[in-house]
Amino acid sequence: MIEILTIGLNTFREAIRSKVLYLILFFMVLMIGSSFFLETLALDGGDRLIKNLGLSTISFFGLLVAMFIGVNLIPQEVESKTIYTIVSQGVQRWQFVLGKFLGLILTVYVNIALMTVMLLGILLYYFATTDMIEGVTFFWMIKAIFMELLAMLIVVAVAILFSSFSTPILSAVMTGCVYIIGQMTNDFWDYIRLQSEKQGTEIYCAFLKVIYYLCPHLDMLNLKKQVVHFEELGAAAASFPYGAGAFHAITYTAVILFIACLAFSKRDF
Amino acid sequence: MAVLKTENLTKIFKKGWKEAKVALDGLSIEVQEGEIFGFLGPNGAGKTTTIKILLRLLKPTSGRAEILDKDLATAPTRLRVGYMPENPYFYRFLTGEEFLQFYAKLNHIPSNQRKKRIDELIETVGMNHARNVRIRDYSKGMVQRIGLAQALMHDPKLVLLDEPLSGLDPIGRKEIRDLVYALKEQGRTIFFCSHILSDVQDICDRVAILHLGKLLKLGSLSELLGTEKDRVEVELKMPEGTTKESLGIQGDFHNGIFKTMLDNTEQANQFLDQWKSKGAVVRALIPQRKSLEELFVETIRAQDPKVALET
Amino acid sequence: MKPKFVLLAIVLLALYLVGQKLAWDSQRYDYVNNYMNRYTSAKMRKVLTAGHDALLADLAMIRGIQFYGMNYPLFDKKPTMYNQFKSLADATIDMDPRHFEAYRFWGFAMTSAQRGKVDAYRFLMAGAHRMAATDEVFTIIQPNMWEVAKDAAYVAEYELQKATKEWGCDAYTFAEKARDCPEFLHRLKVLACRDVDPDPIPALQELATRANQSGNVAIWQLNLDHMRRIISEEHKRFWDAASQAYYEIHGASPTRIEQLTKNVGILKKAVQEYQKVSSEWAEGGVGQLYPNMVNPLPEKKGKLEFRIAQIPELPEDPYGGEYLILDLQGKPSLVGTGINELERESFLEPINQTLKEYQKDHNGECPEDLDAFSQEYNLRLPVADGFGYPLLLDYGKCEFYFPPVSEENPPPLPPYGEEKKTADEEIDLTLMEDDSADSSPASATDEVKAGTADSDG
Ligand SMILES: Nc1ncnc2c1ncn2[C@@H]1O[C@H](COP(=O)(O)OP(=O)(O)OP(=O)(O)O)[C@@H](O)[C@H]1O
Ligand SMILES: [Mg+2]
Repeated sequence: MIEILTIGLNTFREAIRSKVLYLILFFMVLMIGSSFFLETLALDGGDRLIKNLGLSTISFFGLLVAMFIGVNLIPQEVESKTIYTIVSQGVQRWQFVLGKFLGLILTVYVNIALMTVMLLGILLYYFATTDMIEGVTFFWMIKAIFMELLAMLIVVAVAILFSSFSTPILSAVMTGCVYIIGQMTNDFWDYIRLQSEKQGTEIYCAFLKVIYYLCPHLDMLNLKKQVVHFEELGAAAASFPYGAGAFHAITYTAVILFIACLAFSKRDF
Repeated sequence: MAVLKTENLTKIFKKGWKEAKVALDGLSIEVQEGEIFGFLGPNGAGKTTTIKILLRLLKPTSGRAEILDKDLATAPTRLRVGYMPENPYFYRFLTGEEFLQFYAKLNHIPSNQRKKRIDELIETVGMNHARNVRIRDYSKGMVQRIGLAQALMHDPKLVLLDEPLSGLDPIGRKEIRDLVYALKEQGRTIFFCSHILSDVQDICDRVAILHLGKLLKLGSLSELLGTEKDRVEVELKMPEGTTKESLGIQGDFHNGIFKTMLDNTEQANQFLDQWKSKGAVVRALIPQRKSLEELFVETIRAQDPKVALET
Repeated sequence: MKPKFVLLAIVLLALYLVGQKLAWDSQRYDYVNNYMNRYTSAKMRKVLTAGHDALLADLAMIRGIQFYGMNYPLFDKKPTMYNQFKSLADATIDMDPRHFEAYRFWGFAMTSAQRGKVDAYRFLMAGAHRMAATDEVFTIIQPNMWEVAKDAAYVAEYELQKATKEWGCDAYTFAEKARDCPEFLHRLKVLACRDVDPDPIPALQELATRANQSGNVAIWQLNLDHMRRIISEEHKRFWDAASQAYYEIHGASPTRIEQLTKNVGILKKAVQEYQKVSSEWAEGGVGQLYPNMVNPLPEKKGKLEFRIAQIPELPEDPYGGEYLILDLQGKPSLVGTGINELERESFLEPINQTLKEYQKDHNGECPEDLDAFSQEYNLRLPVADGFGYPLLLDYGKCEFYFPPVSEENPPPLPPYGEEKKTADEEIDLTLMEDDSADSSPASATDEVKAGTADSDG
């Protein structure tokens, strides 16, 4: 446990001292900040734009950190040969992988916390200037961000998994693909249903279903639309599968990390 | 007692479908407790590969490797061996001290002792002046030193050093050599990889010479070098009119001065007697001990005459 | 430099330029637009956004507003521009089918093109239907859907000039499905369905409010233009009525403005008033008969001031009511358009009929609890009439009625009633305030209850 924590904190320290993180953070802060100005370009729905842009930015931030920092973590350690010394000093390989995951997710969370404060600040200012305090909006924003945090678990774990056995570029591409596919599994399911209504598509559909079940369901954790349309969603929003989504995120992450540990333990350097 | 043992260790790297690279070919060595073991070989001999297998970073294709009496095929990865990799560059964003802190934590060194231990190590490797500088800004030799400190953090019984002297200045070399010697005095076993032979020559108790994955020679320095101890180098000023052909043996002949190597003292005496009578003057008579370097070149030449070696 | 090198450089440069030219030629053909239109389905576009569809809809809309601001004068001249604009609209609502602002923006913006007016109506109605669609996720009709449907009705009434008579009525009827649908829309619906000319005031007020609320110049301009069109429509009616009056007197149509101002007594003062206003606002202070009721040269993004007419003495008029013209200062006075009376009847007729049914079902009893009554018969009880008089129930006759219109007894509610807080200090009446007063359920029941108590005593 101390090993995981030590490696995690070290990874966090490495990440927050890297320029890439600040570059990403800078652009994300710029994006959230720009919602403030874009709001004047949009119609009266400025509040809507702030919400959309803020939540999308948070989601993107996690993806970018996973894609640009996360996939490099393990290859970097191999290159700088620190992994050799760490392993020779009695740290198990799975501890190393979990430590890396912990460090990265910590980095992502700390930065998301910063962005959340900024986002809510902007919303508050917007409401204050337009005389329309809506407490329920904040409630929904917090809920959506919380679900986003769960989604980040999956994205970061996937980045760690790929980087534990392949090159950074390939891992980044794969992580991006998983993110995109994960966001549209719902539509994907519709597609499979349409296909299965046709004749002679059993094998194809079976294949598609395998892919469907392998993919993470990030759209189960995507509350962006609910935040914008919470008013008319009413009961449906309350019955959004929060529990199932959280359960899925945690179990999926656990499985991915398990595979990552396994792959990393089997790996030759 | 052997602290490190390999038996028939073979490693074949697969490249693509058909090509394969034999990095280690039936290597069997044994390192005894408390000795400094020199592991020699030219570039690409398989030294680093051997160390990686010993640390379980690589799986051997066949054969056995044991370290601290544990069979690596079944033992857990928890090894607790000090290891200093070749050409490391570590966590560049950390300062030297933070870097050691990290290893101290990994090794469960209690927080009240951490500071003391780190101070000690920094003192040992002579890095006191740069403890708060980021590793990014270190010179190559400084990185080597901090790497060595890291390898000693948990007070290991066995220390594997992969080319610890490369990149160091002459003073640094001497310091590290002294340090390695001191480690031995403390009762540690040292496995020392290098191709800088003169360094090894002075401190190693035993050496193994490896080429293209095969073990060529293994033994103590006196075993390997001792048999050919009494060679003599002779330098004579020859009388006028002597030609190279008339000398009858190989050697340098230049401006009337002849220089040659004779295999033993008897030969030398004979040769001197023969030429002194003809009026030659002895300029120098030097007993020669074969250097490790020559042994190395010779051994490898014998194995593979075409190989180009830079010594 | 070696000549070979120079030659090579020249050849490369030439090749580069040819390549650029080819690229440019093909770029002029709008790939993006065609791609959007032909090669992707709505579903596809949504999938490609990877869960950020709502954000992309917002960004597409901002792009749409920019595009509108730069190109709208060209919509009629260059059909492709209009097509691009419309396809952007379609793409936006594909990504967020309930994007309220997008419907309202594109709905009005499309009317800038002559050929876009029918499109606009259809677009808005489609939007209203989508916002009213329910499925397992969206369980209720979007509460602000009425605004979209109402815009469709405006388009039908003002832009399409009632070319298809049912459209306005249809749109208003659909708007009533929304929870937040305000009172004044019921009035407009009744008028539209009876094919009576609508009262333009609520529409104008609302557009002015919207223009004032937006910080965006394009949106401001869009609303202003729409107001101008509504006003010119009113002017036309004014001219038609005046011509008819002139015809009745002289047996011939007027050919010049002066003929009207000199001879038609009832219009004389009104026309003078118009000219006074327009000379103040128009460039150079020249009076016109058809001034823009909205300042034609307002500061960009300045506040649009909207004032209700002070009526000159009007002995008679063809509609039995009074005309709306501009007032330079002062607060609104108790005036109707002649339509309000009609409207009162149209309100009372259906509810009194339902009341009869109720009596039949309940042994001739009059309902005690009006809430229960309206719920049982799925009826919407209006809070007030077009003047602002509350709906009352006469228990003796068991009949709903509105109090008689008189200066001594002014209406207690907006639009012509005193508003509790701001009637004096604020000249421009914003529709929003009217709405909140009109549609707040608590005040509605209170008023009706109070009315019943009155008639009991
Ligand atoms: N991961 C690998 N994949 C393929 N071949 C490898 C790999 N690692 C090492 N080799 C090959 O194995 C051989 C031995 O390499 P190794 O690194 O052990 O040499 P070395 O003795 O450490 O040389 P040097 O003195 O240059 O460090 C080399 O020919 C190298 O090409
Ligand atoms: Mg090596």
